[in-house]
Amino acid sequence: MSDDEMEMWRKQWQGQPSVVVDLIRRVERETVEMRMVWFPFFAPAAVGAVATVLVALHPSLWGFLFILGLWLFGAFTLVFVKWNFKGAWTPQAETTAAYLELSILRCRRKLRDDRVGRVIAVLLPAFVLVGVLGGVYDLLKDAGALKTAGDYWIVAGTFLWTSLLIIGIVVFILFNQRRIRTKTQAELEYLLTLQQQLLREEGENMFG
Amino acid sequence: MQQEDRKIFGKNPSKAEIEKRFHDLLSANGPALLRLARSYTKTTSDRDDLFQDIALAIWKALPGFRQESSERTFVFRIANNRAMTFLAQRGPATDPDADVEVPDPGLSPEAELSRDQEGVRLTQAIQILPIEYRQVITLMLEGLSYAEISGVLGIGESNVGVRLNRARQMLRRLLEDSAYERR
Repeated sequence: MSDDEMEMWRKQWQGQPSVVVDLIRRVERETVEMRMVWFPFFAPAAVGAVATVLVALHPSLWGFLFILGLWLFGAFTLVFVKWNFKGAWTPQAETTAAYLELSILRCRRKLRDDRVGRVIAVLLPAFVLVGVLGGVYDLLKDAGALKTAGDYWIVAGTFLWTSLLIIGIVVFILFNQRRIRTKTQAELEYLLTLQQQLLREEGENMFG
Repeated sequence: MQQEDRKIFGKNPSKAEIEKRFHDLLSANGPALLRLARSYTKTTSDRDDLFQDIALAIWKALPGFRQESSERTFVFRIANNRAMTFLAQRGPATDPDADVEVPDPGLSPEAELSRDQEGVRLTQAIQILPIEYRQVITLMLEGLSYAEISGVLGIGESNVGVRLNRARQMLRRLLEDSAYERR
């Protein structure tokens, strides 16, 4: 083993062509996009706010309970996300082992997030569906729009199609989540194997 | 350089200062990070994805960098950690039976032929190494000292030496085998 060999390898390694300028520009563009990470939370908050205003304009016990339920779901989700990812933002130390542990922790928390997410993915749409359809039914009835049996059948048909559409969306979301879950589980297994490998290597080196 | 760093990484660096430092870091270390990314990936698109992951991770970590280590150690530590996560998410690139494709866009066939073939073989061999050996050998090839590699990987310097020796033995064997196959 000689330094000449390493020097030769170093020249071969560093002499390879590399195209970096475009990549740097792309990254700098993405850092701007990263600042918009909070946008996905604005939409549900906006829906909640609009629903609150509508119920305030047309107050009813049903509307009040619906709004309360919406905000409780929202609050639960925020609290859960904050709790679930506690301690999973930065490593305990600036070492490879600590970063590996952090990656493993994040995988486990992601899987936990998925388990809770699946429950919410079913309960929340069901709640919203019942709330919205119930509210629409009340509005129509109060407005005197439901006069004949035919009117009721039209409303029932519309409600049925809406429900089927929502169920379809939920099934799609759950199917997609299953794909992500499988990927995360594979990632976790790989990281655990890597951790064992590195620990074994450390042990061998320590004891000769 | 250290005084400039102290000024930039002081208590509350401005956004413009951070952006400038980020740009300078990437310009200075970009080719090295790209080579490191290449050692963990099979294709150019994966390499570019990993490079972006690394660069974005550096961007996120930069405001909190308080010169506990050198900039090079800081950058390579992030790069190695991101590379491991990338492997976990995409699967290892070390499939000895797979044809490793590292095409460079925009190169003419003549330019590709005149490209450093030895460098390509070296990269392919490094991609086959177990990860703990790949880490030390790529850092050594980038010119980091034992102490710096120790700081990047969070292992002792003697451990660096042991892994490096084993990495060189394996790499030498792989290069000899590939040279024999080409005859």
